[in-house]
Amino acid sequence: MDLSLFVQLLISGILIGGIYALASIGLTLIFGVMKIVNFAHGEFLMLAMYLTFWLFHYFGLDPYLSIFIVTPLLFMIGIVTYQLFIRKTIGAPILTQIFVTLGLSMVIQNLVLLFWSADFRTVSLGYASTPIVFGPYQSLNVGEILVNPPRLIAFVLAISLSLVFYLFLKYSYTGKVIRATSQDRSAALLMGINIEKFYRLTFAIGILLVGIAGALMMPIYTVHPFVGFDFVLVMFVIVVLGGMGSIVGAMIGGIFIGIVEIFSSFLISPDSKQAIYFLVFIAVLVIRPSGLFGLKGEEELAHIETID
Amino acid sequence: MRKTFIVKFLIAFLFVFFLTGQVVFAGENVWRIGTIYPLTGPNAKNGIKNFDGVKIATEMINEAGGVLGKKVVLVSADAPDPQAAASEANRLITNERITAIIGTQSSSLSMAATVVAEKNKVFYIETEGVSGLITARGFKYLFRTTFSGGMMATQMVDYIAEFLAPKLGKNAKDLRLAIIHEDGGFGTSTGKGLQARVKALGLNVVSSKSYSAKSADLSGLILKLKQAKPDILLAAQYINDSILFHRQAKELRFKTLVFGTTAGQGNPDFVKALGKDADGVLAGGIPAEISIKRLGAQPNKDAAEFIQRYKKTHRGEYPNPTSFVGFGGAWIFYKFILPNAGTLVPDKLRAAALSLDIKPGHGALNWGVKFAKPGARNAGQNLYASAGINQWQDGHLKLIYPREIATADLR
Repeated sequence: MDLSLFVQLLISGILIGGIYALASIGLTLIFGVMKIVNFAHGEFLMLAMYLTFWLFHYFGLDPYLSIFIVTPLLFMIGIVTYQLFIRKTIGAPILTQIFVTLGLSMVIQNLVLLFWSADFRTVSLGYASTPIVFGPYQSLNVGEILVNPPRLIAFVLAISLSLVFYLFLKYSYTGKVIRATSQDRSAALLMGINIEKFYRLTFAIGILLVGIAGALMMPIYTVHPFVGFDFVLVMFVIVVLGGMGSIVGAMIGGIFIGIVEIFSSFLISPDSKQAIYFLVFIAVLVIRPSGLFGLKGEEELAHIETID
Repeated sequence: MRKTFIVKFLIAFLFVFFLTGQVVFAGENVWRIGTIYPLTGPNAKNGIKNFDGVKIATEMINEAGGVLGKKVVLVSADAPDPQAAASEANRLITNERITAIIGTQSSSLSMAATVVAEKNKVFYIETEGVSGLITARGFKYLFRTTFSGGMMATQMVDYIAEFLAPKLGKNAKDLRLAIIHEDGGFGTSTGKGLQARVKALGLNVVSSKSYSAKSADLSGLILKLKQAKPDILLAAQYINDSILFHRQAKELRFKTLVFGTTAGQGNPDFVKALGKDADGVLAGGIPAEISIKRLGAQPNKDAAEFIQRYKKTHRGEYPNPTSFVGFGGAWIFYKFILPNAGTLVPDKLRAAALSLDIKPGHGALNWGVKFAKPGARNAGQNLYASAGINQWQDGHLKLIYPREIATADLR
């Protein structure tokens, strides 16, 4: 394989990894703090994509501007969903939580199907399909490298967003409370933290984050009522691989899966990529059960909390 | 206490009597035919459109006085996934006492539903599932009115040798062909069909790959193809992945003549996503338009009426290709099989279907009706069905082959 091709594959892998990571950050947050497996996460992604599409369709709003409308809306949807469905499942057996979020995902899918039909909808931006060309770099013996603008934007925003969010969790009061709640629910409660309020906030932020992902993905992908299916599996893999609740883990995990996917589909065969990244996934979990960046014992904590 | 119990019991009894009584009553004066289509779930888009074709055919036959004087009533079932297809087939057969079913649009759903029908000796018309496996099982009560994936693939490859090679100014054997297909039932069987025909004609395949239709990124595949430098790329894809493929191919500057199918490239959403970039792309499969002028007198009249009715209920839109085959399947059943049998008893329907020999152009659409006999490799396949070849031209999907019903020439 010549160097240009290698670089092109690597960049493609990193860019798709950025998209995966962006979609997974919200999931890992909810997972890590609330110990709730949100099976409806893909459906919130779908809702955000639809909102972006409709804003483009009816008002001609550029998807990158619609982020400012989609994000607050998704935050509200997150709060309402928490109040109506999630609140009652906190501390409930894990099966109850699975049924609630899985049921929610079915309901959203079929309501969307009912109201918006099963059409495959796309947003076509003139500037989106013309690649940015880097190179050629004669001295490095690398030819032209093609980069797709929407993927680059999604990647750059994913990196900056997770950085901002990481700092928010690390240094702000709210962030500290969220982390405290995730580390020890009982102790946080004893310190006078209103757990319910912060759970609601965490859930809404998780949904907000997937909302940004949806808006950024709309110039690249087609939206239909079942688009959540296409991403949710890889999202769970990334969250567990990176370590539940770890933002950095989700970033690294996403990019790692992206690179593995692209190289295996080029070098071995395109239909082998899932088998390969699952093999890698299992191998990592055998060595580090809490994931790459998870706290040791995090996965057990989730277990204990759900059985009591 | 006792009195209220008796009153409640009577009310319940009357209620049940009324309900069941109505069913029995309705059952005597109409043809009750089951339908199984994915009306929700990932295949809903095409499932609903195909079912629309069946519904319009039913409407037309009923307004023309029904079949042998009795109206047709559809008992509809929704099959979002193979498990549901099997359980709904079971429900139609055991609870609704249905003996003839029209379905299923997708091959994997068809595989599941037809097993249940065959086990119960229930007559089954498959209107769209094209997989070769459906008819390869030697089922006795299963009849596919539309073309098979193998027939479609053969027509596509033949079209390359006969028309595309001269158009590209090359000898067919010098063409560099590549084949890609999604790794589900549809893609795999179509891919196999393409490979078999290419091999039979001795054409040159430079790359052949399969991939998952749920992929979020196809750049690995595209870069691999780019290295192979094909003149023509044969692609058995669904709509979602075909849009992603064409978009990423453009981003990575991979250019070739793409020859897809109506499951992907021929879908109306394809042009909405790609705009001008869709122009020139070919799609084998269901004819997108039909030039009715060249059909036989009766099929011409039926097709014209179908198109008109479809437009009336779909805001003036021209019928979706999948609605055409839904209509064709139901129409063959209502016009030829059911009147010939005169009953919904499966064995009689089967005998009626096997006795048909209607030349192409005189059945429904441009098809004839002649089913492969039991014991044949593809028992139950309508041998006089045929696929079409379409091409996007200035944002419209035009039928360019077969010539008798084509609405435009190859560009």
